[in-house]
Formats: sequence, C-alpha cells, structure tokens
Amino acid sequence: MAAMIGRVLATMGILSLFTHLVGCSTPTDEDVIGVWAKEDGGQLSVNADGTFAAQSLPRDVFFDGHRSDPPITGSGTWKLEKASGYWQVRLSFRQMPEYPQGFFTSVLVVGSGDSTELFRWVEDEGGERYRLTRQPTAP
Amino acid sequence: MLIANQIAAGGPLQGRNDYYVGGVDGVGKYLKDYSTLLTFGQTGNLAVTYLGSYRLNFAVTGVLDDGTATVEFSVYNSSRISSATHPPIIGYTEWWDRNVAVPLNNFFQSGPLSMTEQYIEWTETIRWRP
Repeated sequence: MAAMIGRVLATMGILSLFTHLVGCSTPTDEDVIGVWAKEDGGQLSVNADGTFAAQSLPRDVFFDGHRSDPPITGSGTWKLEKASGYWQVRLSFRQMPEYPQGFFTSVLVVGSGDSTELFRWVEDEGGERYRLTRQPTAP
Repeated sequence: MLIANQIAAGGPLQGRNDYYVGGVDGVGKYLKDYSTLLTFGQTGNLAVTYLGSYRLNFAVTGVLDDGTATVEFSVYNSSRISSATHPPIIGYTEWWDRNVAVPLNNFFQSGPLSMTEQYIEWTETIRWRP
C-alpha cells in the first residue's frame, strides 16, 4: 500500500514538474504586448490599444493553404483568452485581398512575464514550433 | 459558439480554430476522447479519438435573417507514429519531440505505421442568433 501511494505521489510530482516546464502560468495582456518576430521575416506587433499588425506570416501555419503560398500581411484587433487548452492571442484580421471576409486565427502563448513565448505548431501539435521571439524595445 | 459570436460581432467570417489535446488541460481531454476505447465506443467520439489534435478551417457562406447561417468546415490531420504515442503533457514538449517523436517518425518513414493523412469537409447550418 505504501509503495502504491509512493508511486502515485511520484507520478503527481513528475506531472507537476512537466506542467511547470510546459508553462501553466497565466499570461496578461502586458506579457504579449510588443513586437515579435522570426528570422524568416514573420513579424507580429501586438499593440496596447487592442490592435495588431502582422507581416509575412506563413499561410499554412496561421491561415489555410500550403507552405508554398505567399505569406500574409495584414492588421486587425486582438484578444487574449484561453481556448482548447492553451492561452491564445486571438487575431481578427480585417479584410485583405486574400481574405475578403477577414480572417480569424490565433497564436499560442506559453509562460508569462519575461518567459512569455508566442508560437504555433507548424504541423502536428507537439512537433516543430513556429516561434516568434520578442524584439527589444527602443530605449 | 465561436462562429456564432463572430457573426454577431460582424466578422471575420472565415478562420482557423485548431483542436488541441496537449497542454495542461489535455489530461481531461485525453480521458474524455480516449474513453471510447475502454467502453468499446459507448462514450466519447471515435473519430476524435483517432484524429487527436487537428487543423480546422471554417468559412461562413451565408447569413440569414432567421438567425441561421451556413458554414463550410474543413479538417486536416496527419497521423504519424509519434502522434499515436503522445503521452499527456510531456508528449508535447520540445524534449519529447527531439528525443522520441522525431526518431520514431524517422524509423517508420514507410510501410506500416508510416504517416497517413485525413481530409474531412462538410457544410452545416448553425443558429447564430437565439
């Protein structure tokens, strides 16, 4: 019996550790406001007034279509909320040539404060991440 | 609900809203989605059990004054040996991907247990205004 309790406690400890590692903390609006970019030219500016501007986001990762499709540039409004198990910055794009009705998509958030990261899964969940890195602000 | 809210708010009427099973909340989803295997299909949803996480796109093609709307959905999923063997939480870390998932996928690049893809499309009438 004691061994079984020990195993359960050990399992809970391991789960707790990994929960911490994958980031279960709650991000705030302030954590995601800023300029985020990737070396391929993708960039997302999340503004304090609730608007955003996106440049060269890969269509297959954030929208629909295929990897060979040209990336998307646009703007709209954002909102931080939890959905499908992740904190997400929900992005409502205004009308664009590619999407005349606008487009609703999101970027996932892990961590909080200085450890906040924005990303999307490139293909399968758990696989390669399309990671946007926070850019330093001008002094 | 998400699409109904989008229509009520005036858009956007097209978008992507993927389904995920990783993260901290994934444990509960695992229990719900995979309970179908323990009960021989009496609980949960067998299709969702197979798909795991998937890519979902939607497009509202018609909004009517009677409070209904026509929506086209498309789901894409790729099934690999790695996606079939994800444990909750740890299975969605970069460590697991690098040390377990990628080697497994490389080993099963062809033949049995290699990647398969599923495309599902359907049109549905939803109620966006009560």
